[in-house]
Amino acid sequence: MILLDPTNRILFDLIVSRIKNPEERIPCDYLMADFDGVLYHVLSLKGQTDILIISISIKIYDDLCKYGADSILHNLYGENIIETERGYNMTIQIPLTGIKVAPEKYASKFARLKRNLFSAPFRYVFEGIAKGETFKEPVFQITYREDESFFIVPGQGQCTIIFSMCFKDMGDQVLSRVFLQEFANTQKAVRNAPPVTFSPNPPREISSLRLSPKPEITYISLVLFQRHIDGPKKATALDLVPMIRNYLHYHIKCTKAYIHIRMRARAESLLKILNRAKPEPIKKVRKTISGRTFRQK
Amino acid sequence: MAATLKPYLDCIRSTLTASLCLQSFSSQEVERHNKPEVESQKSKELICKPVKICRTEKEMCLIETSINSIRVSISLKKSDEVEEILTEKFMRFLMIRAENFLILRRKPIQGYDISFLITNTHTEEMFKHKLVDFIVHFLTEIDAEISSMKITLNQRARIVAEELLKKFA
Repeated sequence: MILLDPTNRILFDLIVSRIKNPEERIPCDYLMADFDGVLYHVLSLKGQTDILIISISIKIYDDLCKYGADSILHNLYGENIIETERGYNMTIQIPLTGIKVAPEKYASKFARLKRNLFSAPFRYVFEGIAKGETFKEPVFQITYREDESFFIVPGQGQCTIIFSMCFKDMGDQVLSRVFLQEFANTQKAVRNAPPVTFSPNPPREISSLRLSPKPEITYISLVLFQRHIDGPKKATALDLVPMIRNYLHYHIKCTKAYIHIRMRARAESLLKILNRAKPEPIKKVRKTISGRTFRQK
Repeated sequence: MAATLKPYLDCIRSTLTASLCLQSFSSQEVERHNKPEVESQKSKELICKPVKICRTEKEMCLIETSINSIRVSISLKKSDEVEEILTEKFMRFLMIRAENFLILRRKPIQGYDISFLITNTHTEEMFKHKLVDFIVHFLTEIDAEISSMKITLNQRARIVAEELLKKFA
């Protein structure tokens, strides 16, 4: 699995299995997490187990709504939206019976809740660019984690997406630089790939925000041209762009795990060599006075 | 094998063979104690002059000898920050497991990446030439392992980057 799936696997499996097997429709109350601090609350009440209620909590819901997240959701989930549960940002109810489409297709629609929410600002900008609109704001900033934000800078037939990524650990910083260097080099290897640059200083495009550089923060900018966000490409771009941070972190973690496995193996082989230095214990056959062998138990 | 590696390892091997000439020696300071003199550094007359063997500016090996123990400290090449981080991780990994590695010291001495402490009990329990073999083998293995880890890291990064950006193109 190289690419991360924008669908939430737990939600997806939960919905599919409950549609396919009526005996699995038991009352439940689950709390689960997704990337970027998203929480889901899944509820199925006693007596109404044919309905699944999902509440989602996103810290930056208000920011996303500024860029049309709520209208996107109303279009997609219109008939499913119910009164919002307290402490959450949105609640939908999913009937599990009388479904006309394939269960997988039906489930993936709801399991992509987070993806649809997070991609709202990107969709807003991509659609604006396709129409040739000019935007009031020169830079869109969304702070989606404590010290990490993404910035969207729309331009003529293109837009620059800048992520500020925070790597606290020194080792992670070094590994991230290796990965980002390869991202920057990819343009040569893959035709039509969007150019990626990275630097510890805030890029020129967002200089108006007067951000001061910090040692643990790296700015990554990705320039998407019209050809990357047109027609069928738009959905792919919307799937991928909000996941870039998670993708990078995921692979850095994988790399560390892999390095660890190698170190473990190497340490074992070194230990074997060291143990060779120990002489083999001499096996002496002990005998009793009458000449019988004596075995110690 | 690089041209400078063989003489470097040969030199370490012969120095170690010469200095691994240990005997039990009770402490002169504290009665009924038997401490590695190279660590306690209390009696000057029991400690030999340390030998430092350098391959490059960073890659070197310090061998300190005393009457009942020797300390071998190794500094690896670390030509860039990736190698530095990999070396640090690897050495820490090994030193956490120092108990299994009998002769490994829990902490390196300052300025080095990893240290071994061989006492007279070790030479009594184990073959001396095999111990020397181990240290020389360790040096070659670690170098090879770190450069191969670095290569795989770069390869992985390239694949990861290409897979993502291919989707956009």
